[in-house]
Amino acid sequence: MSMVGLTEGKPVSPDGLIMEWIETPFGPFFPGLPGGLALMLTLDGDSVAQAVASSLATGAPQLPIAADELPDRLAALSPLAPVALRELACRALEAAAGTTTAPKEATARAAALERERIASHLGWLAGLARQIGLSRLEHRAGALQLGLCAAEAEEIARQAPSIKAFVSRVPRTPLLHEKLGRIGPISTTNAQGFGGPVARASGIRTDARSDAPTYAALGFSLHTETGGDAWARLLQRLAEIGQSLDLIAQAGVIALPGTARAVPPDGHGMASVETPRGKATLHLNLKDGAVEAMHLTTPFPALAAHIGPMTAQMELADALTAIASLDLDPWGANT
Amino acid sequence: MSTAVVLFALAAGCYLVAVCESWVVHGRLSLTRPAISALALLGREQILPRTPDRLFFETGPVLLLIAGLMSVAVIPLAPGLIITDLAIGALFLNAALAYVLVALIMAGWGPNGAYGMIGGWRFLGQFVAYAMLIVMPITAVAMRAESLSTVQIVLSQATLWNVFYQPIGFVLFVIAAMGVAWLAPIDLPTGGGDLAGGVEAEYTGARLGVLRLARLVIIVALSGATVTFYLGGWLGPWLPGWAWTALKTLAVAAAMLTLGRQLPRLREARYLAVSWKLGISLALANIFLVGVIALVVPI
Repeated sequence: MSMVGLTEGKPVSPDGLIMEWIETPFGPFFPGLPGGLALMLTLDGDSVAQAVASSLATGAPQLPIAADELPDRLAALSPLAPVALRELACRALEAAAGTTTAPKEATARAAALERERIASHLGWLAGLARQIGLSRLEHRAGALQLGLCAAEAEEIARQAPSIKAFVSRVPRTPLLHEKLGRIGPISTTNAQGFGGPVARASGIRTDARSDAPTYAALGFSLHTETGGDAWARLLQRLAEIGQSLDLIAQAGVIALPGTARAVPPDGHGMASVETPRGKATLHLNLKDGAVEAMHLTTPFPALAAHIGPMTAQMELADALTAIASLDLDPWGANT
Repeated sequence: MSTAVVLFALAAGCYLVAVCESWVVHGRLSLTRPAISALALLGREQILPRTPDRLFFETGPVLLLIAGLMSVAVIPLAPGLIITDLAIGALFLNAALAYVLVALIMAGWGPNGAYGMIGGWRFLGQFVAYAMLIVMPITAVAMRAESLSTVQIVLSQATLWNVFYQPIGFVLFVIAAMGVAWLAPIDLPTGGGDLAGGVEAEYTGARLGVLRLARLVIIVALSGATVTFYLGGWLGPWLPGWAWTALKTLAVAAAMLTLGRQLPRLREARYLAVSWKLGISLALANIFLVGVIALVVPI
């Protein structure tokens, strides 16, 4: 068959070449990307022509469920942010009951959230380092993450100087700025629809913690970066690690949210929590002491929908780096 | 006899480089890990992709090994300890290394899978970046020795090693050598994070073992070439010549393996741009400088 025959009817690349496009799966198990992420890239040579990302998670809790079981069931939904989802469930139930948490307990629960944020950002850093071939950084970030997952406040205080030193060294890694700069830029306008570190790295001042009295008492101040690219997202998360260490030091004690107290038989509750990846919101309806309907909103769908436009015509390695820099949590997709 | 000794030294060198690589990757020194890994690979099931190009799939790893062995043939371990002292040894080495490209494209194309194919074609792009930076520094080395014989090139460094005589050429050659051996951060054809193994992704068992052995041979060959061209080959006090070659070769291999782990994987477009715009300019300047020094101050 002639060359003309081979390529006849095939799509035309932006550079005018007619090539056979290849649909290639990257996930649900792929180095540097979160497990459960179904990423299908249509490759035009080494460039991404189309990208579609979705979640393979099918673990939505069967309703109705007893209200006192909700925190455990929601926490089990995502292995990447169990504490944040547990906190969200507890707050929604407390809102339904019209109760508030004692300041001391709220502070300890905020510290647990911040511990998860540090561990999550370190885990993301280890994954990104693996993706871009920085094995030493991957091992160090992974080891720090493991050490922090269940550490008490005293242990975190002991490790804080070495974590802060590590965090300050990361941006000085040779050629790292070259690798991440101008990759996957998200303008301030486009970032309006997102939350979490991705939006803050584009200069958007959004954070559910800003309005919380508990965080105000701990001296929380919002940090943002400019640039909106993968490099800015790295700097944003590194800054948040340092910020979270300071918040835990201020709190002095860590406590996981327990089972919600005084759950009313009927009612409606709504709560929001700033998870490591952005704001998650839970609406729930209670009937006869059980959750009969609930709606969970997470940052994943908006970010996943942006992957296609963001990676169009990017070189494959750059596209994967850009996707990894978003820190997607497919397990917490909208339920 | 020389051939047997060189091949034995090559086998020992490959093993030690594998030990060094596993030390760098896993952070723990283990003298037995490469042997255990090799045995595990040999004992593992060899999975065939669904619709491979069988000829390319089977031939790619073997051709890669042959290319590595051919390039070792002209590297002198000591005076008289060389498989063949060709008058065009340096050129022969370059020609043998050209087959690395062919072998990797075959190994990438053969399995009929996306990761491998992209890895193979990526190496073609990588070849465009490093090819001139292998040839041009060798040209400057041959200019000083007034010969393409690798033995003569070592002897020409009796008064001053080329690493001091032409440091620009040394740096360019080492970087290009890392590209030939697809060592991190120029491991574009296998890129663990973005191609999940690339050209290695579809190989299993003994075939993967051959592929990895071939890569080790190429690393040893390029480290040996660096020693021959820039670090005075077997020249050195106190120890016998073969020991100096062995020590220097291992040191170069260890340095190349360690350096790459500190840096993120290079972006292909950037690697090409820097190689052509900066690398070739520097290589030309190196040839000019070496020519001037050879004419004005013969050392």
